[in-house]
Amino acid sequence: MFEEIKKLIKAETYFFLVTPAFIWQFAFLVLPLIFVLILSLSQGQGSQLVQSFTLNNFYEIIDLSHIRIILRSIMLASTTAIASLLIAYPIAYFLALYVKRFKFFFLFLLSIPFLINLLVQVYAWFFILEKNGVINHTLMFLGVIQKPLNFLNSYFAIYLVMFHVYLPFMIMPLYSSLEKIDTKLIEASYDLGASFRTTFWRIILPLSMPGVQAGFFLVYVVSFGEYVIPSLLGGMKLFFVGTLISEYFFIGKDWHLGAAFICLSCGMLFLSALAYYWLFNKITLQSKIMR
Amino acid sequence: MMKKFHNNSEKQSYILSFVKINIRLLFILFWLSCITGFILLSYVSHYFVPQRSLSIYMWSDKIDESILQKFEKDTGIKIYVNYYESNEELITKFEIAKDLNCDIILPSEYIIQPLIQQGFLKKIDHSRCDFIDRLYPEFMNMSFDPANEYSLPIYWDVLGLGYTHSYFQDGLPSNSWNLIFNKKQVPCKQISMVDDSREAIFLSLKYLGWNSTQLNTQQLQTIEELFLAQKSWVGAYTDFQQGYFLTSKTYPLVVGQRERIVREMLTDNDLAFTIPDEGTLLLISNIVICASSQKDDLVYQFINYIYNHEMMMLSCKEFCLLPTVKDVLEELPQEYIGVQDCLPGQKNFKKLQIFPNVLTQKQINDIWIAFKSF
Repeated sequence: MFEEIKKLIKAETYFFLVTPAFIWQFAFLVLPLIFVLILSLSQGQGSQLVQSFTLNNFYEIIDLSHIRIILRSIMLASTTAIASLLIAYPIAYFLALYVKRFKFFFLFLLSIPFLINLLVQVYAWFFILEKNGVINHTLMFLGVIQKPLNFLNSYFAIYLVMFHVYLPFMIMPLYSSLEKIDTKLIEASYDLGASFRTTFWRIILPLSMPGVQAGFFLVYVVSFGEYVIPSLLGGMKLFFVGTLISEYFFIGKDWHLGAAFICLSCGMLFLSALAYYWLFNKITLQSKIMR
Repeated sequence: MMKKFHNNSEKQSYILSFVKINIRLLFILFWLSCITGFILLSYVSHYFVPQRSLSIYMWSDKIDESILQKFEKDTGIKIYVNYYESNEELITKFEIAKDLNCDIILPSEYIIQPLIQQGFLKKIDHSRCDFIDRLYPEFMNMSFDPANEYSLPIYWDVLGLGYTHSYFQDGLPSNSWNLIFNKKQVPCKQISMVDDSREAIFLSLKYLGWNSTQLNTQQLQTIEELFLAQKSWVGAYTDFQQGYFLTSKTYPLVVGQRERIVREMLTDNDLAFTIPDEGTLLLISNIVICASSQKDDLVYQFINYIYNHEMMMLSCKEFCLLPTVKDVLEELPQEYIGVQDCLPGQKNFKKLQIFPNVLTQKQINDIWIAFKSF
């Protein structure tokens, strides 16, 4: 019997190891989310709950200005994710299937942005985009412009920096899925007379789809709630989801409306993510039946 | 009731499943206690704070760090400083934590009343403050704390227009808020505007010539439309970057707090600051004592130290602050002041006004969210 118990304890080692992760997730992710949901369905001052169940916060929050802000964030996230995907794919493809020497050096170069604080990266862009910045100096030197242009505090600045910051998040999962592709399959495709286009659509893309989806959703979901970049480089002219949540919780001190807005924006994010998921599946299916 | 088993193996498997559940419970309890202990560490650290210490909540640019270090050296009282970025953030923290475990705060004037009403502040014993007669009467007995029972003014400031001489070589076309609100009179392509909804609303009232103590729904609607129209020539809304925008020539005209623009003026002769003729918003930083503070002796020692002539002069020069203490302001060189005729007793001082809390936070928010959503 004692031996049996000993074996049992040994078999439960995995449980011992995963328990802290579960507790941590539950206490610091699930519980706060439940709290946000309760807040959105109640009324009161600050974080206090006065009236137990009400949908008033949602009635108040579902209006044109809030929907417009959410759609703006979806647009920002979509553009960032699609642009990152289009640029990241060739880079990851090249690294995974062509580069043989210095592969780790290139991967190290890609991981450098992860080692630098986001704020430092953002402020560095100020010196590139400002009137006396690198871009204006170069354009004036080349004679393209006569007077310096104002790149700061614009959509251009937001999208450019978002793209720069999130590009590595797209490359990494793409690279790992492309690297797993058995090159013999590609060679076989060429041997059977398929062109690069056909090989790409029928072999490479379907096999790299898990990486495409992982990278896309990683960038899409994180950039949807981005706060720092739109605030610092957008000149605070427009509210995005992140800035409005901060406004409700810290400036407006209306936690209940803020919580309702979080629920609404999460719902719309989920629906848009589902739409993209459906689109990816359709592309995969299409590529399989393509002739 | 004892469970009956038909054979030994059934009994053994029952015992094993019982042991398995208990082992798992034990593991969960173990990790729960580890995580709880880790979280409680921050609370336990309060018990190790030295008895002769003070905890202060303030903006990052109000008291020079060298003064705090000198105070620690002179008195042996350890200072713990916490910074906050907005008054709203401060009051939110108060409301959540109930007791911030701090002794002194330096909040702005409009947040004093809510802090008093919620019982977060302690009355100040004026007899223990040796600087009261040095304070300008113009900053005392204000509407937010009529007898200064809970707060004492420490610094003051104003909102105004910062601009570059290189762009406006003949000076600003007029000295008015028209320059930022009236499309026909905006003198440049883009400007920078304050990002504080409360301050922006006050400035719009000054431009429209309306009384800031009574506002109806129609007027709020007009203000919202004014902001929406203004958005087309505002390049950025900011509370901290006005100086940078001027020095980097991003915008030749900015709306902002005097101290931030004057700080840049010390090193850049191209910059200038002016207060429009219609008048402007008076901002007052105050010193208050937390209701939970039990260290009165140390608190008053610190407050008297900060108001000391030499120390206050140091902070004022370091951050271009305007003191509420007569002898310091009178001695402060003009380059650190940066405004003309607006000091207490001078002709334009009467044009400065505080913004009473006539609007609810929700009304302010609604205006701000509505126009920023476009």
